[in-house]
Amino acid sequence: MCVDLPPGAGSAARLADMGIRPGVLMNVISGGSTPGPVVIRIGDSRVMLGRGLSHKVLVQPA
Amino acid sequence: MGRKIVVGLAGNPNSGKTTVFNELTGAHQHVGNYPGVTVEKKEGRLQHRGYDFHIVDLPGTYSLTAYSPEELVARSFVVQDQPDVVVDVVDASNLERNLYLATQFIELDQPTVVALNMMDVAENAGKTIDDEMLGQLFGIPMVPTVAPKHEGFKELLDTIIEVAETKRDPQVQMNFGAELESHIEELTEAIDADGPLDGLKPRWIAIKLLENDAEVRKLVEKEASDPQGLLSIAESARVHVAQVVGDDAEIAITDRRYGFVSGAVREAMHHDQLHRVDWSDAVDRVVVSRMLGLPIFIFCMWAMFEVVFRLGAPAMGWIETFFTLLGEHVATMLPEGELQSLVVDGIIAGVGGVLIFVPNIALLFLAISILEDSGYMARAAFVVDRVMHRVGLHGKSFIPMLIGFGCTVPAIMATRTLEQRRDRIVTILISPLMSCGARLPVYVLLAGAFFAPAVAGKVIFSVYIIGVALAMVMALVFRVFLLKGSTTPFVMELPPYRMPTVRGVLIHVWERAWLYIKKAGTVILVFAIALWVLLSYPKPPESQLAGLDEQAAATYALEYSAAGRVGKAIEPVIRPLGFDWKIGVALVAGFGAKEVVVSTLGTTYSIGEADEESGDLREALRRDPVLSPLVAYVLMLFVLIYVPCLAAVAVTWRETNSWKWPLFMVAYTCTLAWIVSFIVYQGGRLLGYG
Repeated sequence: MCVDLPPGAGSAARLADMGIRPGVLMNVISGGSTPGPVVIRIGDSRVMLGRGLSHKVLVQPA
Repeated sequence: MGRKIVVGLAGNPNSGKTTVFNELTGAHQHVGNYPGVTVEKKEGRLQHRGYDFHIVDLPGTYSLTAYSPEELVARSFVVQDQPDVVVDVVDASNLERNLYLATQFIELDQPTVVALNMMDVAENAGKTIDDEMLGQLFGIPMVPTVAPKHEGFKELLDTIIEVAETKRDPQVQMNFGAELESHIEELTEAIDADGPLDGLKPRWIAIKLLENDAEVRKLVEKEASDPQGLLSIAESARVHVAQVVGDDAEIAITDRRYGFVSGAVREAMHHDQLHRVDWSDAVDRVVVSRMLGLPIFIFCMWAMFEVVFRLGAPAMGWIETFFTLLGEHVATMLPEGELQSLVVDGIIAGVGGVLIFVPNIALLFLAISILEDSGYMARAAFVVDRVMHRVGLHGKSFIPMLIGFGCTVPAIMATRTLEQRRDRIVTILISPLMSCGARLPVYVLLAGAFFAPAVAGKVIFSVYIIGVALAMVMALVFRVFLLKGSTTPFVMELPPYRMPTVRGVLIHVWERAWLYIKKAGTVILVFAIALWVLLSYPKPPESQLAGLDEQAAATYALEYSAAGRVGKAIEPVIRPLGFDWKIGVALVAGFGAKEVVVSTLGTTYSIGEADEESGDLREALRRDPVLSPLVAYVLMLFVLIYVPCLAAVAVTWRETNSWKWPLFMVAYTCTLAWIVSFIVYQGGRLLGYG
């Protein structure tokens, strides 16, 4: 679950537009344990986040 | 010809919008550019029930905020051009995210029709959607469609007509919750009192100011009567919202929009959970994994190149035969002399040399289209990103680079998908190093002449690999010294796997292949003629040719010509690389278009029409004392690296909007070519290859 998006105006709002907002349930499909891009599932869409972004999104296991 | 209806076609990327556009407009499309921006503008027409539809395909966007040039273009179109109707193409299997965009049209009071596309995919996933109820909740008519099968289109067009005739804007208004609404109202009143702003709805402006939208802010600063007053109200509202709600105002607003969409979707859609087939995720886990991802990718690339070259070969042979016959036929029709020489040796040989590659190019683009449309490319970008990140490249750079193996011109245009100018420029700069189709005849000729058949193929392959390696190195160099800055955060949606449509793929291929053919008809043609002139004139007076045999006379005439003199002039520069003036002439010719290098070599080595298969030319090359396997290899490397063709330079100028970058590209490629060739040649001699 996504807990917080840090300020960094552009990225946070863009991610939010794509559905990555606080309180949303996400599923990690690939990556995550190692540094590098991460593929996550939100609802019915699959989004790929680059390493810079994936580190900024704080999550908590649901 | 009935009433005209202007339709803006909007939707998320990967929603099938392009398929809808293709199905609606067929061949009646026109691609251009929005003035001042390098975002493409696609327009098409169609007739239905006596109405004349003008359809503008807007760039795929997730929303209408000002975060990227695409979104701005889409928004400007809706706000300023005010189409009669906007059709929002929605991926019905991914309703929530897709309908987010629809909320923006609600806020703009823009008459809209939603095309619930990919209904078949939704049904397969066990989702039942009550489009009528959804339509009522959104206040926008919803029409189910399955674009590839052309289902639902009649209803869609009929609905568009109805909405256009009644000018029906969305019958619902977004409610952002008490807290936000009170601020919006306050701001709206202030804006209203301030006076009309560009004909825009005050409430919309208020919402945008709360969201800190850069473009709207600029507009207010420029045109409002009291910009400071309005902006300070907005600012304090933002601060207040952040305190009370706990999130930045734009996030809170986005959240409310999603809340609205979620609520509506929950009412109107029923998801039969048992039907959920997640094979896509399972496939992804493999395709994208650390262990298997890269090998799978390399395999796909290898398979692609095999297909392109194996399948392309027979077709290339036919085209070649065609042009040879054409040349011979024309030769009999025209009297011997200058005109015949110009047409046969200059034009037909020159242009024919380019068009020979059309099968290869077309097949390459075919393979790329299929990979893109099926959804694999996105996964490939992910796999490749790990490697590219190390040299400062973006995963998305990989598609233009791949296209570059066919032709650099469409590759440079494909860099438009990169959002950051920095990333775009670096990718454009290294794209010529992806050895394009035009350089291949040079490799085939030289490798065929100087290396045993078994080895020749590997030699050529090594040249390609060196190109890619150099591209990586140069990318790093540019990143570190020239275009500093962190790489863009990489966010990319992975489209669901799907079957590419024949029509979609063919249109894709046609677009790109046509660019290549056009290049042949224009730049190459001009260049072929110019080159012929430079190689034929000035002619030495007869007296000086007396007593020389045919070979010697031809060589003398060549030295005397304009092109020959240029070759002689640069000889000192290229001698350390093992080249002489004859090679110099061919290289200079290659500045305009690589395709003419081989035919120029043919002329400088005194053969009539020559191509890379020509046995005579190979013999002539082998006999020449200057050339050896080492020199041939160095020449191949030089041709790989130095300067892209004139067309590519021209496109670079257009895409970067400056003189600086194309000139830099020419300068660095020539310098790099010289350095690399020098190292390899001198190194080779030291090692005894001589």
